[in-house]
Amino acid sequence: MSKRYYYLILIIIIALGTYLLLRQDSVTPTDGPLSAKQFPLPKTESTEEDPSDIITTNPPLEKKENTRPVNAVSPDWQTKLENTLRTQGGDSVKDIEIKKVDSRVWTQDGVSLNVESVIVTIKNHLNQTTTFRLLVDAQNGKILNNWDQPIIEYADPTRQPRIKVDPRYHND
Amino acid sequence: MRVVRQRMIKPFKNKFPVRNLFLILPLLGILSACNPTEITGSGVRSNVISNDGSFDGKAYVYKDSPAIFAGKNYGPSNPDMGSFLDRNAELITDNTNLTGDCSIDLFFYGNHKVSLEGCLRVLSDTDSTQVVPRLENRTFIFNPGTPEFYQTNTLYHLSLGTNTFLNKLSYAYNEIHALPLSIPKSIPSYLRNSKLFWFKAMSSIDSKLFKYDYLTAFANCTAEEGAAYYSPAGPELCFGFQSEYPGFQFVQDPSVIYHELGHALVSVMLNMRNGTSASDYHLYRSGMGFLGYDEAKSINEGIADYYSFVINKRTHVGEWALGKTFKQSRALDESDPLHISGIEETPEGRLSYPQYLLYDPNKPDRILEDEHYAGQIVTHYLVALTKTLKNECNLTSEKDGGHDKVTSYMMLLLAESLSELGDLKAKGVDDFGAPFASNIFFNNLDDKNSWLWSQTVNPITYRKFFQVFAKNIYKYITGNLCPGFEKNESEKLLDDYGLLLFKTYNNNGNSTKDRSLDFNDAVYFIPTQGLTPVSEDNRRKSVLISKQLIELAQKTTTHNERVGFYIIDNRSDIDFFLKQLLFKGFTVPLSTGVASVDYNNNNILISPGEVVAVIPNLLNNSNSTMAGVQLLANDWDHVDVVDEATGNFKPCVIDSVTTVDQGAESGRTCTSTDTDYQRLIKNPLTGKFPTQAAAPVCLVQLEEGTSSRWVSQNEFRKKQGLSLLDKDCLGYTSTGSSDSDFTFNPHECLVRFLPSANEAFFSRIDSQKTFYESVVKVSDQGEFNYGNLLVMEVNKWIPPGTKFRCRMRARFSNCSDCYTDGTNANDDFLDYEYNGSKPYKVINFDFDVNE
Repeated sequence: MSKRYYYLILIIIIALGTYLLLRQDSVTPTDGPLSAKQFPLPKTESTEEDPSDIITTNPPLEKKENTRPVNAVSPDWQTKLENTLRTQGGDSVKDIEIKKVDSRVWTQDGVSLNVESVIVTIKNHLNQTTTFRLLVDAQNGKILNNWDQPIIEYADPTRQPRIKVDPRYHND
Repeated sequence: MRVVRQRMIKPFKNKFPVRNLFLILPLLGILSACNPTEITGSGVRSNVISNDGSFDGKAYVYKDSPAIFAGKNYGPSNPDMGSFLDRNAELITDNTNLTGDCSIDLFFYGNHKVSLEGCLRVLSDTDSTQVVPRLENRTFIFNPGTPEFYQTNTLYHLSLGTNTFLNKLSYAYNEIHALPLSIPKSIPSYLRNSKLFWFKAMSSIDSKLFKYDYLTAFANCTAEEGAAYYSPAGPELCFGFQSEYPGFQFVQDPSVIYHELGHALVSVMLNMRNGTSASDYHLYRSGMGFLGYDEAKSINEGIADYYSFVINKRTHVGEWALGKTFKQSRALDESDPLHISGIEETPEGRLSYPQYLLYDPNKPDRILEDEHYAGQIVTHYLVALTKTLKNECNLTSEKDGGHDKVTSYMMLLLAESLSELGDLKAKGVDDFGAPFASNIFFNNLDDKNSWLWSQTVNPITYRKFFQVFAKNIYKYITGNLCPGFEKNESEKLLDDYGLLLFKTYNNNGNSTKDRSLDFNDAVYFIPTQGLTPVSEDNRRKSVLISKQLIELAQKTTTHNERVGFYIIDNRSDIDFFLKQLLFKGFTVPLSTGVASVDYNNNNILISPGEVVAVIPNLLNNSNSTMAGVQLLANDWDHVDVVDEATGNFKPCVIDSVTTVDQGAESGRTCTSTDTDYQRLIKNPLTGKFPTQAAAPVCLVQLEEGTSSRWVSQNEFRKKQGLSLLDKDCLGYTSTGSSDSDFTFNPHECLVRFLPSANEAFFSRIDSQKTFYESVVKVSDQGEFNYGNLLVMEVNKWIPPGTKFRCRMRARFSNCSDCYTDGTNANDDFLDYEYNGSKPYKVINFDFDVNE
């Protein structure tokens, strides 16, 4: 083997060694960080930088994707949404408040859409209110998802609404 | 400055303590010397003392409910709350109004105290906007019985509960992040940045993420009679009243305040992994519980009851607010005298699953599906574990008997478990101080479908929760904090409660889509993990049943009254149900112009144009009780898409019911399950449908000459003399000439299960019985829980006589082959497999559309 190869191998070994050394330096090895119990520090706002300060935050995937939304943003989406909610709620709905949280491009099932994330508060004819979240198509106001529903608890569990079995099934 | 001081008169629960007179009389003398002037307000005697600054921000509070102080004969009408106040004034807040601040200490390469200004706020009612300011004398001492008095007390108890939680979370964070980096952890190290140890960061960018800037409690909530609620989108808490008992309010019972706060804390813990900073929070937030009864909701109730025990150390909840009004207070351990005989703190006497799922100790003969009753099993187990750890970890000699320490252990387990289960970013573990970069997922399928997976497809059940919880006991308690509590002991206690429902701890860190990838492929420091099996010798009470033993009920000669599916097409019932759904936050976007309750004809058949509720009546053919039965009617991978232009498909052969002769396919994509979840929607940019996709559950029978085959609804709508346009289909939304509906699925043009009402849940089915016979028939009212219902729309253009087959999928919590099939050393199925048929028994719902 020529001298040139020896030098090449030497360079590779040095580079690898340096890399591993740097990697060890930059990260505390497998023992983990020192615990608060071991080294109690004064309870003050720390000015030192910790790794969670310097993270590069990954924006949500749907914001990162370079996909063109196929729908337009219509100024009417809110009115259309309100109509949809009133269709379901009928005469029980007294008041609807729609608070826009965020507008974004949302990709699901291979389709990118302009969507609105909203908080909806509905008051019924008994002045009871309910609040939950919706994801809505920014063009036609179509509801794409709902979440963060309330947990309503009755002191008397029999007050939970239920549906009676039709007596024709069992001739009760 | 003068302070109005309410006088505390604490009634004696038992005999008058004559012996204490020697102590009480001198004390009264001292107190009267401090309180020179007496005034009267709201029928309660008060004293006036000067505030030298030591009363700043303080008030006198009731530390427990009248039921505790005054005994069981004290009635719920017009309670004299002034007589239950503690003798020492307590700090309510340092702020000048009824808002509270929070802070948490997090140790991660340095100690960091993170403070949130205004994390709590109390208002009177949902219409109120003004927070009650401090009095001129710089205190919050309001006359007992006034709305301000109750708001003050509510803030006191909420602050106590919140600060306790943050202290325990701080303990959990610091303990687990002091462990080696090689141990996979769920509570993220970047909590300080994300501020997801509470509902949001307190900066302007986040102020619009919720309805309010604070966790807001309505202490005198007039909107809800006989109820309290937690609403995560607020976030808000509402404490109601009961008009039958004047002067009665839910906030008079601190255990109920802790319970409702417990729901808020569950919500916090579920979402701790769902962002690294305010700029990248996941679009959705995790929750526990769907519509009506289900197991996630029951576990949520159990944890909320347990949180009351964490704060007040009492093994009973709601003696006043629930007990005095409707005789519905709840015990938290088996030694409570409320229980029926036979329930005791022995392996045989534990409140076990599924036997006691519907057990109401106040009315033991009543059968009712209710998440609070089912949640008692969770609470009893958590309290039993707390007691066991106090002994096993030698903590009973501590001043408080080890309560503070062990409940910190328990909150560590809960925070670690819930943050894993609610992980919508789906990464599961982190690299050094930050999420790892590679595109591998370990929780809830992936970041796009994690909400669907965690809430519907593979939601939290008793099996899933206690498997993760047991894994964390093994990792953190046995493995670190208290090695004396061994794996066998943990498994035996779980089994005493019938909760040893899993075969392994599922702790080998497989990715959600590929069994050959594990934590080590994503994070250099975490080595490949082993799979820990449950010791089968410890499984004595936890009975597992094969999924093959569940099926649809059928009429037989011995059971000629049995019904396979109940149909409800009564217009008023369905109309009321849909309104109730909306008020519970479940929007079911109804189709316009092609189906409506106006077509409902109440003939208990399925007719064109109707919106009907479908209740499958499942039969348990085994000799043990099945529990936690889930029936899914959402889109799944059960077809082979044969035409990209139309998305038309052949159904896969998945059972002996739909055969090749009937148009089904057994090769091509039917031989595998898609690892990515994608619905069968046309891509408007390419004009094509995906070749691999999850399809709607309902197929339709197409008659061609003398033969017939099961096809897509999209194929059918263009044949059989029909030529239905998109706008004539179910689920098509178009409100203007230029609008298009890009999420429209033409393969559910004719019948479809509505989003938010396409999953049904059943508490338990007794051996050799149907669900109806096990629960509904023997209940007081003969009623179905809303959680039992699926809602289906039927297109008005369907020719009568058209045949449909809907392929639903069933599984249950105590199932032996719904989570593993014995291969791979009983390792759990991967998340993507829940997109197919393997974990389920397919339930075929066949029907003809009526004339």
